[in-house]
Amino acid sequence: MKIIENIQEPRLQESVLLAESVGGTRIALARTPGYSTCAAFFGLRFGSNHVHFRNPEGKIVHVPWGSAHFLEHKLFEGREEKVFDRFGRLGANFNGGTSFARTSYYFVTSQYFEAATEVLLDFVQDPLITEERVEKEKGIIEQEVRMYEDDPNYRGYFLLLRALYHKHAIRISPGGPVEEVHRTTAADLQACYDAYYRPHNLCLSLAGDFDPEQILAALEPQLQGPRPGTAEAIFEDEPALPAHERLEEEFSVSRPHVWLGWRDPSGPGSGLDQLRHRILSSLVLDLVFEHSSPWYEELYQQGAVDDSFGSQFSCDEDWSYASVEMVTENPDRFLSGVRATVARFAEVGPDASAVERIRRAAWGGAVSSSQTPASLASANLASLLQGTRPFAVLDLLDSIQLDEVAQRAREMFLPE
Amino acid sequence: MALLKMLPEHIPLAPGVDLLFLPEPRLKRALLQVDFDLPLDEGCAARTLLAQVLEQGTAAHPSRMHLAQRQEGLFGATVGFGGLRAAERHRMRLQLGWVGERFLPAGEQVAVEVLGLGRELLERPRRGSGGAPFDETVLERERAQLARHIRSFVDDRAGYAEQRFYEAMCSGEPFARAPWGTVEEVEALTAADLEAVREAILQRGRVLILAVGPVERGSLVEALQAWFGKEGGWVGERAELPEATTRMPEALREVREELPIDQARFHLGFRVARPTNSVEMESLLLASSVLGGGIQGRLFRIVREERSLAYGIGSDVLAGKGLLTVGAGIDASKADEVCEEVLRQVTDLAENGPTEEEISMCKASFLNGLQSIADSAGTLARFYAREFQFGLHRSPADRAAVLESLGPQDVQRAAKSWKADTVFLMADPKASIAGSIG
Repeated sequence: MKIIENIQEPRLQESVLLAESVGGTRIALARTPGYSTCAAFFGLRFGSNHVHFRNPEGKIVHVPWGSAHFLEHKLFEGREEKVFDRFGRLGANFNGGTSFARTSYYFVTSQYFEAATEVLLDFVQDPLITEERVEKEKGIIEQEVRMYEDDPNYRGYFLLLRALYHKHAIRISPGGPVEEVHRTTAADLQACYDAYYRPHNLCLSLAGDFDPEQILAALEPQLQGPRPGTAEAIFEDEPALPAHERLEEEFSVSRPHVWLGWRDPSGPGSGLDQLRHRILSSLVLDLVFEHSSPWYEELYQQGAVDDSFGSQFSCDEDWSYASVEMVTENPDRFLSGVRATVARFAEVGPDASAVERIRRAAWGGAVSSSQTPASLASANLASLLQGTRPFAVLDLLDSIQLDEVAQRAREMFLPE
Repeated sequence: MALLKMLPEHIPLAPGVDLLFLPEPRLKRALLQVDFDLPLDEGCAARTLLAQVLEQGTAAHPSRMHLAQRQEGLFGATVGFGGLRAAERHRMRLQLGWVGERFLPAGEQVAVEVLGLGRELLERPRRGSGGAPFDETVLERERAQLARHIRSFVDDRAGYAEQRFYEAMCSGEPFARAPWGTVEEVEALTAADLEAVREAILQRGRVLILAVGPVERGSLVEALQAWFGKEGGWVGERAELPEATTRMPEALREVREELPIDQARFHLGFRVARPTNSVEMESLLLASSVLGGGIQGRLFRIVREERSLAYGIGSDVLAGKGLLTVGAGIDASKADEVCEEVLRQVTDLAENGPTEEEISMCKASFLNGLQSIADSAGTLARFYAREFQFGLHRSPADRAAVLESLGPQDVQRAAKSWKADTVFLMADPKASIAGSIG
């Protein structure tokens, strides 16, 4: 086990020890004295977008949509005993999650931390995927997919992504369409596992009131040794401009649900570049659409928006977009109001005092996101997977200049 | 890690106004939760609308924008209202949160200001012109917004189905009432109505205040006494709230409703005896956990894992009302199979009791949960508020001790008292429904 760095963050009164196993698994250990719970998050950069790739042996592989999510389900089956039973006996809370570009598995517990860690590392690193097991899971995943398909917010969100992007994989939800779930085979899932679940792709983040050195010593024999080779995702070329100006879908709802998105021509790349891009973009959205914003207040007073309004920003290496949404009988009024507001905001630029105020509030948010061992472990895993140092967000927040915010607002809302 | 043995300090501020104070400097954020309890009655709509209107501004912060700016300036402090149904009470909650002093720049303090802002929302609302209790434009806008929100509730398939299930099962009981009221009730509300409920909340609501986290006792108690004590002007008759109504079913009722949805929503409700002591409470919760309290429950293991009939299925106890409910999203054609399996498992639990392994796994899960409580102001507040409201006044360690003492016979005894009341299915009109539900 190689110690990489011991990061101290005096402002949050936290520290994180970064290490790397012999096999290349990156590890973050955060000690949280006095806390009852311990948490462990184990993840990798492999998500629902990765359905077409060149495996480490050089072979081109195509798998059905939803394969990463299906694989996550199957890992919980365990090799010899269901993971539910193993964690259940320990009383631990656990789950997994699959997004466009990542999969993660975690548990939170206040007892038997070492034993729970052993279960986590074991089932993620040593699965058994058989046709029988895959067949049995299809009905469960179908119900999960149908549950999401019944949610107008979820459907609308993916309708927006199909308008923003021509071919990009984020047009398809992580669960995949039901027919794709039904055509998935054990060989598909095994191909994904073999290509991506390699020690140097995995990241492990732990937080709790433990002795980091003791934990590190216990981890090494449980983590797999080197298994070189890297899979290369193959994505279709994505045109720089949105696919559709407007898309509509009929769905049984009481009032229309409306989304409006602004996409960047490409993604921001990885590491600190991505984090800075994310912070700047979120700051711009907050400056226009938070309740504290005079721009938002004006829209609210006019009745162009109400409390069903929401905004969000999302990006990864190869995509970047901002979106707003609302439930309204008058979509055109909402759309024209928001469009006019963001254009005026981009032209006028942000107010320095508003930026400072939001920066102050963001500090409160940073404290909140390191409140519990689970939130700390989760944030540290996100940093590892993103390729940034834990707590990098604090320095970036401090360093952002007003003209950068203005420039980002123009990029987002006044594209050439 | 040892279980928390500490009990919060109970400070009665006035008749019917209680403060539970649990200082915890280890935590990074403080939480102050002020619950105003009133009966779940026709006043729900007015209280829900009032909460929305109050958040639109105060005398000192005349718009929601000004309030939000103030909260951002206080390092992301949060001040807001929520409403919920607690058995047959309507609970209006004012919740305040702020970053602990040791994480703020030197010399910065926000607690007293945040508390003041919360009080200001309730006591010094933005008034209308000409002596009107509220600004008519604001009232009209928020009234229309709440009415729209209630009309759109049907779009939240799971939430809507659950409410319709409660209405079917508890028809004629206060519990059936949605805590946000109806469109008709909301549309009929006037500024005078809102002012009347504002005064009623402050004057007659049963108040329970939870203060948890890095909170300084002296200034907190002083501020709360100035609010709810004699000098605050709100000392009045705070009537005891009635017990929730109970009813035992004669036979299982079947209700089916139609809605254009892809996945059918299944609910099965049981009437259970309301627990009157610690052992009865833990026995009921443990029995529900064995049935469907999570991954260790029979419903997850059999209905989902063995029979692949659902993605999510579980049971929930509403102890204050005496209900146990099972909910799942399913294929409508499998409704009979799911219903039969749930009833079979309940019957088996009542006739044969749980296995030792089931008991052991459920206890492990509960103990983990009880030990985890200490790590967040929110979970601490929820735990101690519930203990106070049920009159049990236990610490997590006290609860764990009772739980440890329970055996299969206690779970079996609890399950024997469950009486199936209503099976409810909400499905697409075009869905093929097997068997007899509805």
